[in-house]
Amino acid sequence: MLLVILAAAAGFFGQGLLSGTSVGQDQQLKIEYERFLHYLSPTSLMFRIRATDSEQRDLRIRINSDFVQAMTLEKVVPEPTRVEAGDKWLSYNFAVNIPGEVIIKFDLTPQQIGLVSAKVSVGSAQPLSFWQFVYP
Amino acid sequence: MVNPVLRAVVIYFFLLVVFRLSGKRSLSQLTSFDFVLLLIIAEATQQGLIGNDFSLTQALLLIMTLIGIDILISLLKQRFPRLERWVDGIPLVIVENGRPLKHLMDKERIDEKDVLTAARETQGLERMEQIRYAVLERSGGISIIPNERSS
Repeated sequence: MLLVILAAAAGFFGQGLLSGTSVGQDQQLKIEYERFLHYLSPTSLMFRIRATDSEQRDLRIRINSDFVQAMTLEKVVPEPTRVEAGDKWLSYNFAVNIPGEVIIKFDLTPQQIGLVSAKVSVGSAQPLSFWQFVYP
Repeated sequence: MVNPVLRAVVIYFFLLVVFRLSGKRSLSQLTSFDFVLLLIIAEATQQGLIGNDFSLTQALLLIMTLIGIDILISLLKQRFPRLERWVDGIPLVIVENGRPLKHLMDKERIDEKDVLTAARETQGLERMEQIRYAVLERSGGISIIPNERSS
């Protein structure tokens, strides 16, 4: 029992040091997320994008549709200018003022218990993959 | 979002301190208003513990942590008697040979009527002189030891 409590305090069951993490360590794109989630309990994905291309006024985030189905998208800050649906993906377009760091936040609620995998790409960059585990 | 273990620890120790400071008698004899108060406290505590996370995992972790702290405290109480005195208090003699010990009774917010009520209910005694000892127990109840002459 002590081990379970210690693991929970460390964040193995969500909300803690072991849970909070990020992918994409380079300067261009970083996605911050929680590794362990609770079913129907709000969470968020934070995109930190450093846009350098001065012609880039329109920023596109593309997410696999399996991920969007497993989560309810509550809110996106800032509001996307356009949302597009494609073959197994959804893309969110944002108007950005660059150069500089752009922060985009997706508020989500997990709707599915178990492992959820995400594949996200920003602009023309290589897609990043990560997983999240939703506890019941 | 706050870690459930942290929430449980904060709430546990907050309630422990508040109820310890409020004295032994605060909820030992429930009036109907005390009962309502207890319900409101439970409701407020629940909001603080669970927040907007209604998952099974959150509930199980909270229960496990609260029981875990309780076990830990009881183990520590066995090892450190001083902690036990602080957490549970000590039984307090408030009437000795029919003489009420005023300063102790005032400290615990008990008056002679409370002692006589306990004496009537538990021993069927009528007067203070018939009481040899009245003891305010850790639970907040008053136990009465009658004078041998009166029985």
